Amino acid sequence: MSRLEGAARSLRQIDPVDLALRLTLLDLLLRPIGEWQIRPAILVLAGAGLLIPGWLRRPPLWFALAGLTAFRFWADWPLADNHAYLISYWCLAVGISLVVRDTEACLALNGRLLIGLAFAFAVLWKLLLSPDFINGTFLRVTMLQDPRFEDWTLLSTGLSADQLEIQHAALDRHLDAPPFEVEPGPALSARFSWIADATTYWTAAIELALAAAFLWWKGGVLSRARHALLIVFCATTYAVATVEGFGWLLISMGVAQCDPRLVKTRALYLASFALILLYREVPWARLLADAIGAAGP
Amino acid sequence: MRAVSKATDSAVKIGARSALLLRSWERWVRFVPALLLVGVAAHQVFLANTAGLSPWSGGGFGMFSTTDAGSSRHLHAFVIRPGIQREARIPEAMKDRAQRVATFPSDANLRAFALVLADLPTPDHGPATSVRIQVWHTVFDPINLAPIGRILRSLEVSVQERGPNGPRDAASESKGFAGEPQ
Repeated sequence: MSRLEGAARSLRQIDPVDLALRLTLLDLLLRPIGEWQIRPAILVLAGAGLLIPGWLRRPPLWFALAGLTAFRFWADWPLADNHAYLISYWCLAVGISLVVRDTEACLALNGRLLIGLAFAFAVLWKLLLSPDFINGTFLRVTMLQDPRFEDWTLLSTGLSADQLEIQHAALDRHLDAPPFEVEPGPALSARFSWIADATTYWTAAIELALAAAFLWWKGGVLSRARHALLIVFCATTYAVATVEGFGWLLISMGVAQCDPRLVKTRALYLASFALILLYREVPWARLLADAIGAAGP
Repeated sequence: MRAVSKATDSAVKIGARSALLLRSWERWVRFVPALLLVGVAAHQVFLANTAGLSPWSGGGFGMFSTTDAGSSRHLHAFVIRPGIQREARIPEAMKDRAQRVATFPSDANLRAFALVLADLPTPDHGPATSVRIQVWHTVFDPINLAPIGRILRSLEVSVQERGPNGPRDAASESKGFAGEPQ
């Protein structure tokens, strides 16, 4: 009991700014971004920020990281993924927060705005601009075609590895001449459709809730639920979609606005960070699918 | 004594004004990252709806919202000479550029790429008169997931009247946007 209390006390004593900054640097080290021209510099700066006493809160370090990560998406435009943009904005926000007087409040504000706006645009795309998300087509195709979703598909849908391969091959074909439409693959089970639809609605609902919670005024009902929503989102989404860098970045921004007195919430954020690392390193869905024979021969 | 007092007064005033300016600078600078996010994302939404930019790309947070990722697009290029139309084989060294053009098939990108392709050697004699580029993507039937090929953008660029300043001087073009296959 006393050990637990000691751990809670230690957790409460960590400055929220320091914790958020350390997690951001860990994100950059664990999921390096960019090509060889900038990657070594980002890794060296991130390592230096973590290891050299006093460097963690040096604004030039964070402005340099913001510049390097921005160079990455500028040089690679338009191919860089969303993570590249968001981490650049966040490093800039950290740099700015370290030069203004109310560092903690400025960083917390930026964490809220960046998470809220990122999810607001994600929801705009999913619900209004994309023709094939809300009707379930996107997730059906992705679960069959995207290798990152393969283990989850085998575990949850009852498809065997052979069936998945056949479906994958059917979706990969294209015909660039009349009649343009290719024969579909074998019919999919009701269970597959149910899982794909449930995942579609869950994703849309939680992202909408996250956008609203983080952009809602502070103290409002929705705003109070934001930490719980973000932790649930990270713990569930990154179990299936292994885009861990984005998950760690969201956690870093969430921690920045978490009151140190909320020890349990902080602990859950840190547990989510570790959980995402485990999701990446342990093929849990594949192991489970093999164990219960879900992936077939 | 009065002079010293006046000088002190004005120093205090300047100090107060500087502090006020600093406070107001600090007030707005904290919104710069969020404003950048909104600006870039709104620009991406605009380009995706007007110039065919893939929703997955460009910083608009459209990843995992549609099957129309840049990497799932492909392009066909046809080099045209009088009486002959031949599909250009895109060299390995140009694959990366071709992928970028497919991801963001703006008129400028298509035109520049077309004029590069016009200079590729082919078995046909004589200079190319024009190059037609088509960017294709695959949509899926929402009921049975049958893949359906669609032209997302198409542009034919005349290379005959290419001016001394290179690709920007290409004289004429005809284009299509998200139309029926041609």
